[in-house]
Amino acid sequence: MATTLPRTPSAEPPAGVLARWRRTLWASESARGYGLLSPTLALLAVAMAAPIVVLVGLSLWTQVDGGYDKTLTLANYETFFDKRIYPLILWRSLNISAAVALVTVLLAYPAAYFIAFKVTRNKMIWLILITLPFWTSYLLRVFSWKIILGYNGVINSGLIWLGVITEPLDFLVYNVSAVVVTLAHAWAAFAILPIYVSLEKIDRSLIEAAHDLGEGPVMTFLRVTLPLSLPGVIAATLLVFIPTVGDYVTPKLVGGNTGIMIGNLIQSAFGRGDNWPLGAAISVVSMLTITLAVCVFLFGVSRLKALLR
Amino acid sequence: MSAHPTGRFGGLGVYAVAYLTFIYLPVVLLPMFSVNDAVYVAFPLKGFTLQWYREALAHEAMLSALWNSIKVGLIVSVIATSLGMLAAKALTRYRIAGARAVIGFLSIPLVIPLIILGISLLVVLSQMGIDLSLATIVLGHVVITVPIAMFVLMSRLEGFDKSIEEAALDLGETPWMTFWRVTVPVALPGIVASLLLTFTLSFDEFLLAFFLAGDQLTLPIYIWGQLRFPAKLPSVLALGSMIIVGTFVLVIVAERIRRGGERRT
Amino acid sequence: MKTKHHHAVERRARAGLSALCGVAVLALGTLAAPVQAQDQPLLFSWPGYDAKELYPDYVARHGMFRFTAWGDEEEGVAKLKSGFNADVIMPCSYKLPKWRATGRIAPIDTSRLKNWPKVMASLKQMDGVMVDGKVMWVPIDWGNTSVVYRTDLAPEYVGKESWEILWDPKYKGRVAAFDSLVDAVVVAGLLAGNPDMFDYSDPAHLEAARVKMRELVNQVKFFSNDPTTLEQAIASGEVVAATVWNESVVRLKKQGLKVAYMNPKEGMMTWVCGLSIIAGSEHMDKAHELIDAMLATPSRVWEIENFGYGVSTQEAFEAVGDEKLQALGLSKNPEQALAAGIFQKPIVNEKGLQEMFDEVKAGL
Repeated sequence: MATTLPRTPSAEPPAGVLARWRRTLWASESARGYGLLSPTLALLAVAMAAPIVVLVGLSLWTQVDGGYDKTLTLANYETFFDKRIYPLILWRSLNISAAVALVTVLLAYPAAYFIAFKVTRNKMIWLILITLPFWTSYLLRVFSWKIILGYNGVINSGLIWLGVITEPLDFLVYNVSAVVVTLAHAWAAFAILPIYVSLEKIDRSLIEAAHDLGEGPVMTFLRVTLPLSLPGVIAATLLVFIPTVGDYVTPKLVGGNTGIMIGNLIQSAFGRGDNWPLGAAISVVSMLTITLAVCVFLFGVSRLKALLR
Repeated sequence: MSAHPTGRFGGLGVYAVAYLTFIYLPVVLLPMFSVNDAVYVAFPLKGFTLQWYREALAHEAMLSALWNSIKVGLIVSVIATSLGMLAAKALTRYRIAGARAVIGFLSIPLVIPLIILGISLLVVLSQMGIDLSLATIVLGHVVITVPIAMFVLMSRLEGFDKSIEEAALDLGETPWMTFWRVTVPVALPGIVASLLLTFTLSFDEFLLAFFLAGDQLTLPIYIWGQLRFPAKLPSVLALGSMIIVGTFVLVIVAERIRRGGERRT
Repeated sequence: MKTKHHHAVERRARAGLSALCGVAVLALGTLAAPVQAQDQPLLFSWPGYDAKELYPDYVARHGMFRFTAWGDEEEGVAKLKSGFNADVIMPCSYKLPKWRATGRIAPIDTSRLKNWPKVMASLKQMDGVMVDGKVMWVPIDWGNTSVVYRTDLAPEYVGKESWEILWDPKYKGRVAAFDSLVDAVVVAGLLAGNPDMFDYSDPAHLEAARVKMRELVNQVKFFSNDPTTLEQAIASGEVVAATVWNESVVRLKKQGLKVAYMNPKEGMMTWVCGLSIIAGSEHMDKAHELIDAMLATPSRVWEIENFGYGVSTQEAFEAVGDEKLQALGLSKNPEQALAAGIFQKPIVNEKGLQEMFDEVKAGL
């Protein structure tokens, strides 16, 4: 990196209290960190303050005809736990999202591994190739999935042509597994890229060292590659799991008559149900539950890490 | 090349191709139905027509929505990645008091239902008398993509050797030049991944964009509206196909130029 | 350890990133510049209603107004309620109380609408047109909600048309319905024998509808709100019957499919949509002109011929001609057709009905 002329180390700092104070501040790691964080934190603090206040505030009000009763109450939260539908659908959504995250990450890992370790030229091309399909509208891709899985779609037509079946299979689309397949496809890029990024930074000499020490490929993978790529795997899992819990479009489009998720219930509270306070309460509970699920996941991973060591 | 026993690509190569097929499966059907001479997207195919392409290219509102989406996506990806980079750098480089709380706070946009984010941002903006435009969509999309950028870049920067940076600083580089010449190259794969992901999310996001849009729409909002008119679907398919083929061509041309540049150096 | 090649790559990457930042800054500059003049009113409406042929008088005089659409009317209400600044909106009859509850609908001065006298009498008398002696909503167009079915796949329903086809066990998994209270769920109330299919204030009526809806949920392949999905499913034979709006049938027939639009013995439903002005609009004059332009005969004729909907002026029906009306499945005597159908009204206890719908979908 020696392309610039070496400059003399910065001049003696000016004397005085202010300068000393600045120096101490600069020396404090926290302060420097927060300095770097400040633009991001400031933007999100400004942009998120209102939503958080609205969310929590609304959830403590109650909907009455034509307006809100603004006395603070936990009534909406009681409704959430009293009606079976909310906890049930939240639980169902968490399971669906967990399945989606698992499937997506498992499918993506080998592909990311391939790009990181086997592709030596044009990695950029591969990365773009991976993201390109997602630049067509989500809606169009859902339509395509219906063509593939649908009544006289690609799979059914193919199977009939091969003589495997005579009548189209009708369990391929409009159910929970169609939701999982569609979501696993839709979020593929969000799994593969973070995993690739963390695999890419692994020092190749570590892997060679493991080989030299007589570790087999499986043990090398388990003891060197996998632990070192864990930050990427964690990021990928979270990036797929968290947003899919609240998804409401996919269940609507391919979920059929029963595939509703918590996002749909929030949507209907803010829409036809016309009960924004209840919608806010459902949101708060599901946000807290997602956070809890993430904590459990992170705890599990750290235990696993300790085991691998 | 590394001395991998199974040759250049091996079994993993086969898997990668299968994976690409899975990713591309729904996408390759688009061009097929975009030249099919029928309003309804269903087998069997009817006949060949370029009518839908003519319609798509004559469809001004749709093309301007596409252009809006590209602009918004581009700006969002650059801003979100820059902010995500600063945050990721701060969180991985320094031992910060309350780091966990900061990460938690910065990930709220990932967890909060978009309809709530959309409604409350709109309430605030209209209270402040700010008219809705593409800029407000950018704002909303930056908020939801920053945590994504941050997570991707943190996974890259974690465990990054501080001493390289310190050496550069000791050599008298300014912090900014150190960042630009030392940190950025190290983070490069993460930066590229973050740009791609944030662009993709913004390019496809519908609900937040709906609440924050004025009279200029982005492509997803526009396409959702077109669903009311089944006769428009084939031209939307044609547009989708053109996006795919267009980006392909762009990538290949860029690659050619890059290789040309490589030979000269 | 770094090679010369490596340096070149890094240099190019940095150059690329700089260029990208530059482009983003330029793009940001174009966002800041207002694209369209603010001296035009903003119409917030259903998608597709930005066709300038629907407002010929206005466009000729003032040029194009500003336009933005909602995907779902409920989201439109939520956006307006949150403070969105529009000038003219296009609500439908059954949602009028909700739009009014936002407190943002202003009275319309019909003396400024030279086409107001053309509006059919039966539509002028509808609930929601007049509130406290003031006109708040001008009916513009109407259409039907009923069942389209494949006559080749369900021939036994020819001549015996009924909403019951959706509940026919023979077609379990082969029917589809709107994901909507007013276009689908109320039918359960109708078939359950409730005295008013739009009133669910009595828990007994809600329960009766619930029983019917449980059956329907097990019957349908899917619920969907977009005509595209519903028509696709009919076209491919995936479903044999589905609820649709009347214009879908015209399109399906045009594709050569053997389909018919039911005139169920229980009655088909009729929806009516119209225009309202937002209180405090800075473009009151132009807002009135925009509404007037949409009532003019050339506009109404264009809507009949291109959207296949009924419209609110008799004059337009006469201008279109019998043959075309027949091809579109519209009656030459619209007042009669309107009288025959069930007008979709605002639902009483919509909240309860929605909760029931969600619960039934969740399998409870």
